[in-house]
Amino acid sequence: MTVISAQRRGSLLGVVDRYWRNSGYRMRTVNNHVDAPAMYAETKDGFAVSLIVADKGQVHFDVNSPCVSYSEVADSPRQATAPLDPEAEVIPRPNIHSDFWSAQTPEVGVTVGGD
Amino acid sequence: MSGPGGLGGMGGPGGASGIGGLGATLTWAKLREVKCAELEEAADGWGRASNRADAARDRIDTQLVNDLRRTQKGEAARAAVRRLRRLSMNFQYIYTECGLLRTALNSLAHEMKAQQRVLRGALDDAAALKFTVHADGSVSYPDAGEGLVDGKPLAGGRASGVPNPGLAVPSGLVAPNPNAAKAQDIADRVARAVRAAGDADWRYARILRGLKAEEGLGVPVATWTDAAGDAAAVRQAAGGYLRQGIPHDASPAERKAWWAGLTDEQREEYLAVYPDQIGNLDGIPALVRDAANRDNLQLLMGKLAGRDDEDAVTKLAALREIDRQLRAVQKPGDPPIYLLGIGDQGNGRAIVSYGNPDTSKNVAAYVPGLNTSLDEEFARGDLGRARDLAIASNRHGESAAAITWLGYDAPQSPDGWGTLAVAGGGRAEDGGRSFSGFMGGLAVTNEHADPHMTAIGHSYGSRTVGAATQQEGGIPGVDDIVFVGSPGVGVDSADELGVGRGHVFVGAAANDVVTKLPSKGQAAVGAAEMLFGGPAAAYVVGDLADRGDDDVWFGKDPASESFGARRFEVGDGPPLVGPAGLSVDAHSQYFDPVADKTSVDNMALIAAGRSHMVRVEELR
Repeated sequence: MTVISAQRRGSLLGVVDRYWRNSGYRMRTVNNHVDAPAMYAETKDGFAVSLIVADKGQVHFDVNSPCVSYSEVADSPRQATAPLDPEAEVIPRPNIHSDFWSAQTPEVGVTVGGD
Repeated sequence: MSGPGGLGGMGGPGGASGIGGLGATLTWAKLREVKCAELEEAADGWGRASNRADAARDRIDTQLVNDLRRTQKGEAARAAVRRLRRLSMNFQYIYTECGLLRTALNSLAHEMKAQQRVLRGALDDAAALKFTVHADGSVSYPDAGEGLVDGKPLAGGRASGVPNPGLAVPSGLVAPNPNAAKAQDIADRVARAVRAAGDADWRYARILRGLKAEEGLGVPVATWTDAAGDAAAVRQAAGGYLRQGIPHDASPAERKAWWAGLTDEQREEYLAVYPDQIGNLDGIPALVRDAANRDNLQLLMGKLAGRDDEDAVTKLAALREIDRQLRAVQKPGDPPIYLLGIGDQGNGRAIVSYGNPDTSKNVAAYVPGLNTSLDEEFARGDLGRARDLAIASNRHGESAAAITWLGYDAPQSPDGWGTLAVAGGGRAEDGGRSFSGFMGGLAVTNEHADPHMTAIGHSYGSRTVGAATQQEGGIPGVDDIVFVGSPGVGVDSADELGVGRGHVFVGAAANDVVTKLPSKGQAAVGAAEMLFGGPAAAYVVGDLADRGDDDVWFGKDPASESFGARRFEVGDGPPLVGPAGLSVDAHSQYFDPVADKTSVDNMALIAAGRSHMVRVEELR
């Protein structure tokens, strides 16, 4: 799990926000709390997408499909980049350093806190 | 399995006839010689067999099946898993039946020992008085006293015991030899001990003969139906031996201490014979409740499968779905499931925790509302709500568990809110008491010094949570309270809930008609039409008649400013009258991560003890 520093959090939210709007997603709600910002949007075909910043700055993307009949969902064929310990009961907190996302300085040219 | 096999005559149900054969001809001499220690040894042997079966089942379920599923694909692997499942069911059945045998034998020994004590007391008294107890139980006594006429000692005699108290009326006409009454008393005690022992022998012989499995390796549903009957029979017989011990009237803390003070053997017996009671007892640790309820689930499914009425079919479908979830292979990151309560009484009971409520720092319990009962929809939908909440809460802070609590009979009203069953708060009062007890149990069993606990009420469940707060001492351990889709909670201010108004949260979707149900007085026109099928008229009438008023069905609207709670952001939900026709979905989307993830995440923040990060919505 990549560590996203508080300084770079605004950059990430801004990038995602722009991409969602450009893709025609309808923005539904936003939590603008500085430690737990979140964005909720809906795609044209009814998928609910969200990005939340949770404990220790961990970012979660979620996509929920609109109504479908109940069915088994196959496992992802791709190996996760940071596979979980099979015994893990909770998802571990961010622990992978990225020179860009984990940097303790704001990205040049971007204002902290998004728009 | 060498344990029971090595127990000779007492090794199997046939062993019952070893002592059972005494039945018709039981004498006091035979009763005196019955070796209860051997019965208890036999019980221990069955207990060991039961434990081994339990361990084997556990190994299959938690290791073999999971490893196979993780590492092997294809038809052969699936077939192997199916066979292992059957083996696991066999072990579970062995565990249950051996556990019942053990307690039946212990209970028989318990009753025999009691009668031996009575007998020994009588024999000791006879010896002290130099009376003779004959083989048939009659007691002869020597000359004693003074005759009324000649002053000579009265002749001795022989008294025969009467097994049923009250049958022998003492004659006051004969001048008594003082020994006569004493001898009669001794003879009666001997006779009653022999009779009671014979009764017990007969009863247990029948029970032990009944503890038999079908031929073959399969454990069909009928066998579980049979096992449910076996458990009931042993329970009834062992009533005096075990049941009085269960501290139903004690506080959760006292119950926890009671359980901690039992020996392993005692715990195993309670789990084998009373899984239904131990599993639902507040104050018992979650792991123990879970183990008991998983066993009881099998017995309940067996019991319901033996019936074909609608009620049984509905509940059985729910239990099977819960059983499926309990047996599903967990993926990394999945919250583990604990079955904290299960029952078929009333509309059915199920309390399911996602995450361990004893080891988690944050524990939230959700009380469902109107029209909730133990059916398949509940087992999929309502349980899924707690699961989603557990996953979302775990993201925000320390370990979290979320529980769906169906521990009461929620009102059933297929027509919606208009009927009287809903208007009354009686179900909420009963449910509130139970819910308060349940949370008190968690507060005691949680291993953290100060766990963070949250009570969440949806719909009528918010009225139930409201009632729980009015119990003496409020809801034990609860720090935060959340109401969603609430028709009122029975009190008029957030200050009256015992947690401080800053810890009371309300989610009310703009289009949720239930949160706008007009108060009873104002709704004379609307109430009759207050149906989920046709709430529009009621809503419109009520709203127009009631504009600006903040009273709802059960008191103040908790989302109103005068109530004083913190309103958090939820989606508006689809409008009542929209393009797709009439919709009341806004009432049921608070837990739906697709329709209203904002609501789910906000509840998760509150449950994680991070309520200061929740976005607050403007109050009505």
